[in-house]
Amino acid sequence: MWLTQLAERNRQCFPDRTALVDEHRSVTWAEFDDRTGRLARGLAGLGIRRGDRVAVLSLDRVEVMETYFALARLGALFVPLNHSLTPAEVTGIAQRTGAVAVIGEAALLDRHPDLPVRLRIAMESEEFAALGADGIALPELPDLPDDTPVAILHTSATTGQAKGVTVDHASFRAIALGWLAVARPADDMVLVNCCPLYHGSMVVSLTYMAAGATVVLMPGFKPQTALAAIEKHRATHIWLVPQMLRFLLQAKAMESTDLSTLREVLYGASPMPVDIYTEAAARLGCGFRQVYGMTEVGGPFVTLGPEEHPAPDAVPDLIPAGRVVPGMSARALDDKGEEAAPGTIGEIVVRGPGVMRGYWDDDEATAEITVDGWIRTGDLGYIDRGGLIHLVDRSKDLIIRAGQNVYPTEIERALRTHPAVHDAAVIGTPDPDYGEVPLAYVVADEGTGTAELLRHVAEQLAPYKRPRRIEFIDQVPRNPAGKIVKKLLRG
Amino acid sequence: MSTVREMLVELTGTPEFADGISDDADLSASGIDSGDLVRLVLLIEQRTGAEVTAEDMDQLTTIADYERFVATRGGAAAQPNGS
Repeated sequence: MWLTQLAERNRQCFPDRTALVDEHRSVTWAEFDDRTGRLARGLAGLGIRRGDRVAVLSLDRVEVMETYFALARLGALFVPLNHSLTPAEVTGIAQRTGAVAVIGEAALLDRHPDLPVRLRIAMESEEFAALGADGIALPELPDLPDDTPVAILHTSATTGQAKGVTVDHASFRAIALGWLAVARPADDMVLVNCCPLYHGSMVVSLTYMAAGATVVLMPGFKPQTALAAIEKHRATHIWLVPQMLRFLLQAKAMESTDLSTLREVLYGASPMPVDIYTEAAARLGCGFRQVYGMTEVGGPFVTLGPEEHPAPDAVPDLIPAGRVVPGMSARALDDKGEEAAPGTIGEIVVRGPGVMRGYWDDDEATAEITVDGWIRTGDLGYIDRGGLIHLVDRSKDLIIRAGQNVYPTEIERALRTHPAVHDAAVIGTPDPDYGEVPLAYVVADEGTGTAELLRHVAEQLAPYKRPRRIEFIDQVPRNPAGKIVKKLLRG
Repeated sequence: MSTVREMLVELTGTPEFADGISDDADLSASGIDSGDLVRLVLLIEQRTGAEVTAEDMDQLTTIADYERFVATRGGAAAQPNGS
């Protein structure tokens, strides 16, 4: 019951310190602990039980964290939903996880009137506010062991159906304590969280909450709002993906905002382009901390601290990912599945108490990603004699677009459902703003237009998964086994 | 086509989105990629020379809002080539 202990401990140690802030309100640790306890009892009163799955559909706001912690107290699992997903994608997740309820922002709930759940609660409603209010007879909350599943976090998948990563309290605890042991938290941290709480990267916020930090939440990333939040809340830390950092640097407000309180920029989810790091390090003058993580591993499990980041005038082509955090183990496996010698490239695999309990209701996929108890990251790299992990490539056919994973096969499948499309192949192509974007090569009937195909896939794919460009070709290059030869498309 | 719609075509690479949305529709709820919305604001800053503040962002919801901003705040410092 890590999340419950976290809130109880912070209430005891820092009752009047602000725990969470959003654009509408803020709560102290005492208020947060009190509210999550009452909310848990209120949800229990509505029939939410231990083991139930409850979908959460919202932009980032205080109520999202309250809901996560309340469900964790009950022993129910929170299932965050990416609000940019199409109705079909959202419904698919709700069905596969067997969600009994959805809690979210009214406007987002309205987009999904047909979700197959028995209970819908809008966070802005009086019903939500009244849950667990004084005077109502409330059931006692259970005392839960640490291996109680707490969340199902979704990742993209080659199948086109998002995979549900099931994690327990022990996972969150292992990652938090391991991370904080090397990040050495101070007592006055204020973290501006730019990454959505529906994403696996939300574990970063949970980790800093464990240290008693104040976490500032925003309803979607806007550079101007993030900069204002740093100044207003005198933030010491900011958590973002490199492409967000590029947008911050481009905003005119960079020049007029007081950023002097910033100590660390935490970045991750996609590789840091050298030009962004160089400019940011020179202009911000604070420390940088790399976050290398994976939802299946429980979140961030490798970090490179400020003391090991290069000076702005001496940046190598590749900044190492960092060292594995205490409590977790990482190694590189060679082609034979044996541990590669230091400096030798292999697939990075990870084990430890942070890793997931498995994909929800998908033993086959769990077995595929697990080898002798180690989770395969799909990242190729080497570990040097100092324990630094250097990532050099990916073994999976994956596009990382501004920190979000997109599998080309999912886009190819969507394109092929158009009656005029005979074949399709999708690759990632470099993009200055997003890192990578999908580029589709399509074989289609004469007269088929780009707009028509984009309209078609829009019904099946969230905006971030849609091809940025479509090029028409005569034939998709395939090898004798029928597999697409993507290196020919990459030129 | 309005200035802001032209920028949207430039950012999305297709007129599909810009043509299909009304002046008073909420852009963020219209299916546009959230990153493209960020890029739109940065492009407006670049083209007009005007700083968009966090307070301004609270007022920018629809294409009409963005057009008003460009018309009222962008005139004096306009930099048509983005330089």
